[in-house]
Amino acid sequence: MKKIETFAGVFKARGVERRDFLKFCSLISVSLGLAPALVPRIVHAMEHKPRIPVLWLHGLECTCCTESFIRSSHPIAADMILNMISLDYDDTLNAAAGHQFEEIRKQIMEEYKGKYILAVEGNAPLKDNGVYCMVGGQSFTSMLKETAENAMAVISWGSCASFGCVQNAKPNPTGAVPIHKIIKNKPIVNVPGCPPIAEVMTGVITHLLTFGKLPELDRLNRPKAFYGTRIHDKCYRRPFFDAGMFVENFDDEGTRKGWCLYKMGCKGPTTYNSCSTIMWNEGTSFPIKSGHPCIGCSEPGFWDNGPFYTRLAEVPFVASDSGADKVGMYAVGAAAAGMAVHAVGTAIKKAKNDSDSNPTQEG
Amino acid sequence: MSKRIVVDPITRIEGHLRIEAVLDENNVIKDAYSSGTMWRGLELILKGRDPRDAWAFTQRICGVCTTVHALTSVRCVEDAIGAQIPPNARIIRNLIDVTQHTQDHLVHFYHLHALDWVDVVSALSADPKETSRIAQSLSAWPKSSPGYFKELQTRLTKFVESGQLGIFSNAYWGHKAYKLPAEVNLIAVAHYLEALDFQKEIVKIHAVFGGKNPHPNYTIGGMTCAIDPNSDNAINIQQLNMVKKIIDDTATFIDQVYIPDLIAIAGYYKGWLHGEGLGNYLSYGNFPQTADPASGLWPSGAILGKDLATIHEIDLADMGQVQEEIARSWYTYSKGDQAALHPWEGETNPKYVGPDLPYEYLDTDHKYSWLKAPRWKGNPMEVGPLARVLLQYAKQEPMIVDTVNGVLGALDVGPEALFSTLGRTAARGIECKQTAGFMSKFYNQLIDNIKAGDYQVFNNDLWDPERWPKECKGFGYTEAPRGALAHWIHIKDKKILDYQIVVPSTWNASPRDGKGQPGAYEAALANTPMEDPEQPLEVLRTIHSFDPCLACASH
Amino acid sequence: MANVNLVKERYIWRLPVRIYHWINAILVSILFLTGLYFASPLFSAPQGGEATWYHGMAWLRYIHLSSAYLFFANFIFRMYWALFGGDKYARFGGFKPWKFKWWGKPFKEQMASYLFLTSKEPHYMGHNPVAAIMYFIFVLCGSIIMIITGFALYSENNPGGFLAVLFGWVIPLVGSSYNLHSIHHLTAWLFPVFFITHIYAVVRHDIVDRTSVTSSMITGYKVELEE
Ligand code: HEM
Ligand code: HEM
Ligand code: NFV
Ligand code: SF4
Ligand code: SF4
Ligand code: F3S
Ligand SMILES: [Mg+2]
Repeated sequence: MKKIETFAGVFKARGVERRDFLKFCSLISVSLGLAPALVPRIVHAMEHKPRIPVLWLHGLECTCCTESFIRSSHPIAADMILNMISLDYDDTLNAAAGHQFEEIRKQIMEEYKGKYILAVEGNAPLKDNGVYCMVGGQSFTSMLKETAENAMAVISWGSCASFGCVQNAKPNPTGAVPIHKIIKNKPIVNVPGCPPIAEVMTGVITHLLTFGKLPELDRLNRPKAFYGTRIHDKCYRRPFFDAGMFVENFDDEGTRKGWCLYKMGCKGPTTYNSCSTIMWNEGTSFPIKSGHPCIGCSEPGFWDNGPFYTRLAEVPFVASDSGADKVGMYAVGAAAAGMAVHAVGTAIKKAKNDSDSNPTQEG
Repeated sequence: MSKRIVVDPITRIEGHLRIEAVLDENNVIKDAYSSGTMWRGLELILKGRDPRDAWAFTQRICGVCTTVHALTSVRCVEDAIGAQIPPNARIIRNLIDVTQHTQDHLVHFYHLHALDWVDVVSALSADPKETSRIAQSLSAWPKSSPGYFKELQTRLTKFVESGQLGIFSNAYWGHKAYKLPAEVNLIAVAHYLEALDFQKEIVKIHAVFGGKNPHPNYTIGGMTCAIDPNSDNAINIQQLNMVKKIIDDTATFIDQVYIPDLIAIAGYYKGWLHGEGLGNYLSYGNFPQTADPASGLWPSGAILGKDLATIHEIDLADMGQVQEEIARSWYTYSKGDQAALHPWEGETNPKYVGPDLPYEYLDTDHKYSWLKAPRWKGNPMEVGPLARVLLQYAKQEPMIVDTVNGVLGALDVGPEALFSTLGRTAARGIECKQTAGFMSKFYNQLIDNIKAGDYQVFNNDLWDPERWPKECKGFGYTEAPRGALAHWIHIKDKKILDYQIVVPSTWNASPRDGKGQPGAYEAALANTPMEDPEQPLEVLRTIHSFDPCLACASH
Repeated sequence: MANVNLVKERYIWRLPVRIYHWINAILVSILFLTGLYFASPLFSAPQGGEATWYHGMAWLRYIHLSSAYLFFANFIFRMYWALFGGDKYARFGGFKPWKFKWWGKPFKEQMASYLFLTSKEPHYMGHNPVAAIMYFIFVLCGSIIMIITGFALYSENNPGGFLAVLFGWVIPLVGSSYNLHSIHHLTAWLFPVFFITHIYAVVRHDIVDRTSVTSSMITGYKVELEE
């Protein structure tokens, strides 16, 4: 007899109680907009249906999110894709190509209506009818909408899918937009980062599998478990920040002593990510540990917050090369100059009509 | 009667690639067309930005060959402003780069290419004892007991019986072109999984020096990873030990797993010598040993028409050598679409004129790709491991000559076998053995420098843009895993005025040019017989042998 | 100097306004200087020391944040006084810049005077309309923006905490934490710009219409003089 691995089986193997499993099923019914009366049917389906299928689409991107994903140490990627989920459709790893590959997507969309996860890496160009990203003769944008139609939930991998990332930086030549600008009627989990940390990626999926529900999200739809606080608030160099001990150039004493990188433009104070706690590549390091300021790669619009080695960006619209302080100083200078000129004017005028008197009014 | 097949998307690559091929009545490919179907516009996005940030932008061109664009970009800006970097920075950059080569090749062989030769489903019927015997005859790799293979086979069986084949769904299992015995298939599946687990170790070297992988950090003027053996907050012996261990483990994995597998698998396919292609090869050279970029361990040069006796010199600053055409690409040039422009006068003006979406076929008689067509002195060129191995072979580099001869001997084929799909795949493995060796070479160089008291990794002299020339031009280059990569920059008033990128996969996956000359993929596919046009395994084999990266290629 | 007579002495700025004014002036200066400093710290702690010995940045933050709370309280107090203080010169009164009529004759006359277009110099016991619009833009709007963005910045220390519930919405509104910093920082520059114009205007009125404006914010009295 064939032993089929079901959701229920996977849940049990991971020590999840039946109560949580049932909650998971009702979450699905809610996300589908189904009446509560249908929950038992979903429970039945889940108990007799196999591992959760994942369709992983690639839009305009650099595949570093996939690369990061396969660097996961716990769980390791092989375990994830062979035992925990069913990664049925992914450009980077699938054996089949062309129409055989496309058939898989269509089949899952049909057979697992409302029960598959749509994972998106990269984003979609809206300009010129989507010709800047085409798959199988179709625009990626239309493929994305089509595949989202029956998805249970959407995971937006990386800063591309979550916020737009590099192709969406000015002047955004292709009109690239993040996934949530296109898919409006599904639960979306944003997992930003360029790329996101491997264990954060596998963590988001295993959270769902283990606890039976999507992780709690913050105001930008990021899982609080990984994007709750800023890099700066848990950075091991923070004592140096508080003490005002800063690296002034990458070749000074402070660099070798590991002082704070704030003055080199570190965006840790404005960046929500787990780098300073989970760290990268099985805890080996993270940008700040290697002496480089954080460039804020998990933040919306971070590419346009440059130059990266200054802390505050150039002020848009005013002039290139002008930070907030320069603009402010010009404004103060202009005010002072204006007042000086006015003082001269006043003096001349006062000399002219010293004897005029003016009535006082109530203010 | 001819017929046209379409393979879109090509999977197990990076980015979006479409192949259209015209077959004759015997199902032999007559003409092939390679189309890149994505474009992001990085060259336009870079304009007006701080050149010191360019490495981060260009790095996001690709997360698979992550690092190589960042490296090329810092070299490019440093060339333009005239900045020098300390020897330690040069060594660390080489080490990061060569680590990338090694990891990228390993991932390519097992995860992007192997399934063109390995039938996963056939592994279910292997005899674990026999599998173990074969594995042990191939190498000393310890994970080779009958029990090990038995356990794997059980897991695999359970997986297949679940009915959910995941990434192995709907593939070409049982295709006549698969030739491996079940036992060799099982070994390959085992190593597919082991390599998936091991590749993530190699890149920890990037994390040590660049903070993370993918996308480690660089900076103009050197690196930021301070070295101080007596600091608890800089690269010290603990981190160096970690690097050392990874390097040793990597060499073992390449020697005991990758190379034996390559030879074993190739042995069953040596009759399948299709995919020769252009016969023109180009390499820029890499791994500089001094401040002179030309002091690389890898030589530069061009080979035309398979003539290994004549190596042509290349000059990236020569306006008549590297040029890009767009006659068959979705761009326009202000000088007319027949123009061929050197990157310093290059333009990126997108203009899609293909069929309305959705479409069944592209208009391959006119423009049909988001890739430009780079040419060297007007010639289409193949770049990549095969080009580099041929060049070193021609220049009699002893390690390469020995390894190439060893592999050819083991397979019992002559040097002409190198000019093929399989030759390309073998060259990548041979090169990977070389790069694994370079890893420890560079590590030792670093240790020697530190021992001698040189901790400097960054040079602050030209950090401040105020000290730059008002206007300057430069270029930077490297050999990326997939071949020759270069960036060209024009800086004015401390900002990027123009930035042009010509990428390995742009060379290889290029569409036809103004003269109608095909690109490397297109040429390599021609004359390939197909067993079953419905199941395009042969197309995948040849295309994958180049290790395509389309996000790179179109950028 | 010509002969002058003291014509009238009027009590304009009652104590609450004066207290608000000077507390505000001091706090704004502190906030501006500390804010700017920790945005781009000029000095590094002496090299060779241990981080635990120094708390420069932490202290500055402490000063900025405690000043910020006082600034906020003071601002609320002034709003209370304007709305419920029953103080003729401290309420918003006829200040209705969203009404077309408000920009009419008094405003035009005062503007014309400042621009030397007329020799008439209108006199006001409270604020003149141009001063009022300056206070509105620079002080009222400026303070509100600084308070909202400032507390949103502060709330980031404890996402999910009390302040984050109250002010956390600002971050998605402005796009990112980074944008929030930029807005807070850029808006901070309104204050020195105001400061310069304000001091100039005050001193100038003292000289031109000789109403002892400057000291009025200390004593509360404006005097009118006649030659
Ligand atoms: C950053 C510093 C300052 C701020 C933000 C500020 C703000 C204000 C505000 C909001 C008012 C309107 C009073 C009200 O209705 O509550 C005002 C009035 C006034 N301020 Fe200041 N002030 C500052 C500094 C000063 C200084 C240094 C002086 C003294 C030279 C001064 C003298 C006055 C006077 C005389 C008035 C009454 C002017 C009138 O008739 O409209 N202020 N100030
Ligand atoms: C006139 C009023 C104020 C001025 C001029 C002022 C000025 C500044 C400036 C220039 C910065 C640096 C911004 C940057 O570049 O990151 C700053 C930061 C900050 N301000 Fe204010 N601010 C004012 C009011 C407030 C208020 C009312 C709060 C409320 C709590 C506040 C809280 C903060 C916080 C939390 C920071 C961030 C500190 C950090 O980065 O560690 N500020 N302020
Ligand atoms: N082609 C290409 Fe790359 C490489 N190797 C870049 O230069 O892969 Ni993304
Ligand atoms: S988020 Fe960054 S790393 Fe991920 S695909 Fe986009 S560009 Fe690449
Ligand atoms: S290095 Fe960056 S994140 Fe760490 S304390 Fe300094 S500013 Fe904050
Ligand atoms: S640059 Fe990105 S990787 Fe982490 S430390 Fe900053 S968010
Ligand atoms: Mg280009």
